[in-house]
Amino acid sequence: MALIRSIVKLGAYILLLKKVFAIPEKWSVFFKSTLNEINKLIINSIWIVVIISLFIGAVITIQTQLNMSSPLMPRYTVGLATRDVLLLEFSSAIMCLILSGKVGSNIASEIGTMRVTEQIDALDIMGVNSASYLILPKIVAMVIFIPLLVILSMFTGIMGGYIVALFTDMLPVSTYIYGIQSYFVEYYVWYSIIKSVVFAFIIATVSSFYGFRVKGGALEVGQASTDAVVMSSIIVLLFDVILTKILLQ
Amino acid sequence: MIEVKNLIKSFEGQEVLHDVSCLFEEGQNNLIIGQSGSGKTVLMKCVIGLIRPDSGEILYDGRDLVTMNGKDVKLLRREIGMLFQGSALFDSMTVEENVMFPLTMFSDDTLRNRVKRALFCLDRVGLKGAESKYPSEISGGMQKRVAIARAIALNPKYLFCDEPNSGLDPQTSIKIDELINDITKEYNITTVVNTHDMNSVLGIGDNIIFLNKGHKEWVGDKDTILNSENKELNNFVFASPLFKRIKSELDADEASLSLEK
Repeated sequence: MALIRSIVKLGAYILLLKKVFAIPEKWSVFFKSTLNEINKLIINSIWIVVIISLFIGAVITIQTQLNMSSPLMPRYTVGLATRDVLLLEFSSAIMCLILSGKVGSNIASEIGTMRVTEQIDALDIMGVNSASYLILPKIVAMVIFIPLLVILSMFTGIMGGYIVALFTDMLPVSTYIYGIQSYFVEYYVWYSIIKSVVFAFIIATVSSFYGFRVKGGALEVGQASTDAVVMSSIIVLLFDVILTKILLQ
Repeated sequence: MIEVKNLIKSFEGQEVLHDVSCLFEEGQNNLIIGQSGSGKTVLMKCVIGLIRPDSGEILYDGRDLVTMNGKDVKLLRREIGMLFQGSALFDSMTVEENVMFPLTMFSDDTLRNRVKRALFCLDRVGLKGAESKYPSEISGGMQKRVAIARAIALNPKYLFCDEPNSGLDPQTSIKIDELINDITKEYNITTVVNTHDMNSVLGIGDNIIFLNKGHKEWVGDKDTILNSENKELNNFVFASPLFKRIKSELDADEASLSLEK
């Protein structure tokens, strides 16, 4: 029964996407909506990305330094490990998981509230493709700008480690800088960006899907918001495994 | 004119509309009345195309909505204005932006003309000066007026109102009814109002369709509804203490008149 329900839900998700990817009714309205979404979903998320990345970068540096007991390991490994953890996993996957909580719940509750207050019905009655009008700008904003947030996260995370090196006596700044420059693989950055594009698409569409199919009132909107975060997080993690296997093998 | 022919709709095997046929006349207030659960919301949602009926025809001046392709449905919807029960104004937009929205989406007019039209519509519903406010900053009655202004922005041929008086005090409710009536007559619109408010029924009911358990039980107007012989309709109309009292006074008057004769 649960399997059938999942298949039905997947079918409904695909049908919604089919409605979403339509030519906008009016390009000027679409661009304006996209700019609004960039402001709401991306600009408003910069502070959380900066704060979390800065602290996690600092913590990774401290923990790597404290756990490196072998005298055979060069000290610059601390910088190298911090950089690679940030580039390979934290700034893309973990940051997108955090954003699925912030942005995903925002999207699901916004669209869900519009559904229960008949605003989506009002759009449909006017002859507007409500799915495309509401969801497409969110997808475009997320897919284009989440990779930029990921790059910002990489930079601030590495800065977090740099601050640790600068203000503590755990390791010299020059060693840390040498570490973050050693054995640099440019492909890791691209790998992270590719992953973040996929994750951004998942967060935007899954959250919109849960918001769009709300029936009922405030309670159901809250439930849809929670379901959207849980489901998009699970799918992000699933695709993290799949993409890592495909892109790094 | 909208003609509904033999409409049937079921949900999970339970028939909600049983072979309903009715006519919504042009330039008139066509009221669908009935108790909660009688099927009036389902009927209205079928007529506006939000719910697909199992069978039947919905003819908008001869054009069948049920068999229409997606493109034609979209074009038809531009001829429809809708006032929702909860107004359904867009929270993120100001009053002016709400009224301008259909114009922005479907009109190639300049911004200046669109603003002019929106201000005209707001003036028409008596809301001049409220254009920069957000829906959350105005009262329920004002929200209904904004929704009416938005509904008439594109000069619709058909206007649908779902419970326009719900949540309003009697005075505001009468004003909204008067506004709907004035707009219907002024622009010769086919207006369909879904209501169970008896003040609206007696105030603006040019053509009244009474639904009972999914069946069309009675058709008439505001002048004939109080004298109907239909038991179900009488139970509905005279359910409130006020109307019960009016009924008993009418009966007493009739009795004294017959005695005098």
